[in-house]
Amino acid sequence: MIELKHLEKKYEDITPLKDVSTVINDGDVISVIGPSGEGKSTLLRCINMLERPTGGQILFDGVDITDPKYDVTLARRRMGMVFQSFNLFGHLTVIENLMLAPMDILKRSKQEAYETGIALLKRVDLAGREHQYPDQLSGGQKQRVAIARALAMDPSVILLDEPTSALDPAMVGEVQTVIRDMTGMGKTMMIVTHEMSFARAICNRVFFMNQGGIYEDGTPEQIFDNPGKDLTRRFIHRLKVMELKIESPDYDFIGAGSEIEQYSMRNNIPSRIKYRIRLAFEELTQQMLFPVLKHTPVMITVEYSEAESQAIVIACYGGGRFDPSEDEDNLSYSVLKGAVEELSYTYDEEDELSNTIRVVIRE
Amino acid sequence: MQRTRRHFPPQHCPAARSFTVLVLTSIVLPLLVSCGAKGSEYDSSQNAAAVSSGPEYTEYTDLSGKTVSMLTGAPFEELVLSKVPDVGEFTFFSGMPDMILALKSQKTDAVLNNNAIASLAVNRNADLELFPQSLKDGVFGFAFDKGSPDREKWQAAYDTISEETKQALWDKWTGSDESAKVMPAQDWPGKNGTITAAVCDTLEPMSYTGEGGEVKGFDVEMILLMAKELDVHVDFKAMEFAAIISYVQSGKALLGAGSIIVTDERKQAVDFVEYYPAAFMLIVRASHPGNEHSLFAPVTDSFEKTFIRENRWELFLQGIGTTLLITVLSIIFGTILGFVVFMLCRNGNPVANAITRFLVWLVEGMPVVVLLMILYYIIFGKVSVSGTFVSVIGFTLLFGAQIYTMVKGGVATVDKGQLEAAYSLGYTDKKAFFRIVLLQALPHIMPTYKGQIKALIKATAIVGYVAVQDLTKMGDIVRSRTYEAFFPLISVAIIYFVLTAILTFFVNRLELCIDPKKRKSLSKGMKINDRT
Repeated sequence: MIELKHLEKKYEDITPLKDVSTVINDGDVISVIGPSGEGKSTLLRCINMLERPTGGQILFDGVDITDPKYDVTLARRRMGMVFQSFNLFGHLTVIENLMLAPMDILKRSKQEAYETGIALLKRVDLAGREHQYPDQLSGGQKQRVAIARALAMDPSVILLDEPTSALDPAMVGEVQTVIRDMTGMGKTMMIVTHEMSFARAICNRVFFMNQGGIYEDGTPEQIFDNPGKDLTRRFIHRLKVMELKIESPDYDFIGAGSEIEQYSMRNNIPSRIKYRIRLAFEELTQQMLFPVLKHTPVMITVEYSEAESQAIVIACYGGGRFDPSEDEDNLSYSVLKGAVEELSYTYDEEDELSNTIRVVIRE
Repeated sequence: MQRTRRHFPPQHCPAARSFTVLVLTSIVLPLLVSCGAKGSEYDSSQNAAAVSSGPEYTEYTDLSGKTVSMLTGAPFEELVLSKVPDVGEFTFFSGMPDMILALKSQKTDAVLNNNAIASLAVNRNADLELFPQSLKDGVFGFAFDKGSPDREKWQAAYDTISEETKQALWDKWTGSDESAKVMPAQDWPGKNGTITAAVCDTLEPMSYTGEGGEVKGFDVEMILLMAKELDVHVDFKAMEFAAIISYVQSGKALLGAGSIIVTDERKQAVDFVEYYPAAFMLIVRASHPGNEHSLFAPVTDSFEKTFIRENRWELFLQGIGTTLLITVLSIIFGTILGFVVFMLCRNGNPVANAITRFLVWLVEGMPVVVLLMILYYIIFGKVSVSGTFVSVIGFTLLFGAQIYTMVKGGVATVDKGQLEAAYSLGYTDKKAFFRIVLLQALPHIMPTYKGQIKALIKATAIVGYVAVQDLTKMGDIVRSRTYEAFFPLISVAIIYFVLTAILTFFVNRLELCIDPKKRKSLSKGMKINDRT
């Protein structure tokens, strides 16, 4: 069991980990996902102390391994690590890569190390390659050897830092097969990856990293199908988001129009959807809401999903319940309703911005 | 009036030497063969009494436009110009043998030297003559450190020596009878201890190194006469002429000798015991018609003179020993030093690393000969240490600096991921470095290492500057005895080639041992035990 307590990693210019606390149980297979530069790899490298955390504690089976007096090599023996760039020892053959550490560190006999090594090579489907040097192997083969090398120490935890990111697309599959096979060994695993479907298929837990910490932590079903937080949902569905805040009728609506234009260009939004986003924005704000709301601020959020070719415009505002659809004479409402896929209104007293209008636009 | 000044540096540069050898070999070998036929015409030192028809030049005006040579540091240009206002060129040599060779081969026309050296050269070489007029008369002196309290004692001891004894000594050492030139043993009790005397090793007949490395000559025997009077024993240190005064000033020697002629300028630096009349003489060629000025004696004669006579091969053997000693010790200590410093700096703090970089830069940035002289005359100036010891220190520093740079560069070629992978398997920093990083860095380091070793053995040829008699120096000594260039130079060059080849052979063996692709595999002979 690994327990992270207020873990912090600070560099001079950036702080990838601000305050990370969580418990990793034995046997957990955790996918760590999230945007680039949000500390996924840093978290992994802190756990086996390749990066020394600048604050907080890591308890590995109850022992504080961040204690300066603790010999980190003891923890590292029990935590295998697989690197993005393989890092096989170039001066050693494949089998020697697998034998060296068990003999040097665990003081295994040569025969024992050799037998374990050969068995692991079979497991990663590389039997017969034992006398080759790393530079004679393909990227996928190298990564499989690297996995076998980590397994040769029989660790209880395996950390995989983007194991398939440096590979040709053709070789990603063979490495994923080996990793999937590993999940059956009952070891605790943490894998940083950008392959969402793969992550979902192998893990029982997902860390979504954002804003310098574990932003959302849940089962794959929770995170992938039903994310609790907006940022998670946007990341999972690869949503392109634009937010506008309108505080008064004096708002620069022409300027907002060109912002929508730019946003559409950036994200390759088809012109018919773009046209309807503008329509929805203008009808909602200028025609329907501001004549009534006057000085109550309105939050407009636009989300576009390329995969589904769908845009959603959401308008949130406070100031008491106000549903524009109840106004039968409102021509704008009818125009908009006719032009879009779905137009709905919800009211939630609890929320500060209690009124929500949701507009779904499809091509 | 146009004059140029040319300095002939001591011939210590190995590269220049190798090149010279190549050129000499290709041009001269055919010539040598033809030389063998008329070998009987050659004047060897054995038949020095051969008749000559007088000097080629007899009047100062004859020397107009000619080249006049002298030793480096001899301040006598003005003296020559006062007699011959239109000298063509002055050239400077670091030793008498080179100068005599240059005279015989017509690279120069007159050689300025003192009466002792000039007399001997003329007595030995029938094709050389003394220019009839003395440029200036002076006196020889033994140099003592300024204000040395011992000078008076030695002056008193000198005053007890009779004129007849002095003249007999002079005739003995400037004559051509080699068999008479033996040194008396220091057979007096030596109750008053042992003193050190710095003497020049190539200024025959005043002080020079004879067969077996023994220091001998007129000056040396004169010092012994005085020493006997004072009942002290003398330890002679042989060295370059230019080093003697610094040696005395630094207190490493009580007195210095080497046919030093007393001048006002020198009097400002040291005090003297004056001991024999000196004169500045010019040596010129004899004008015997039809006699060829060949540099090269017949092969067998040259070989005999270079190696066999007076057991001169022993000099070469001693030189090889010294050169190998300095080279091998410097390689071993330098490798250890460089590596240890690298290990200390690898995870060291930035300040310590900056200091190391500065020292490396300093050592690598100056000529080794300057480094050696700084070590010898300044850092170890007041301590009694041998030149060999200082040479080993100097070359160890140099080689250590090179090793540090080499290892640093080699290790930098190994990807940082290798170290991380080793850490992640539970290796400690040190073990990861030795088991993983260093083994991969070595193939990058070894080619440079081999190159530096080859360069080092040749670089040691400069240790003559700090009074070490290595192979090159021994070659110089033999040349000073035979006045021949070809055999001693070629022999020294060949010996360097052979020594380099032997060292390279050993390093190649070492490289094979550590080549990662040739080492014994961990999995060698391993089989899966069939336990079914």
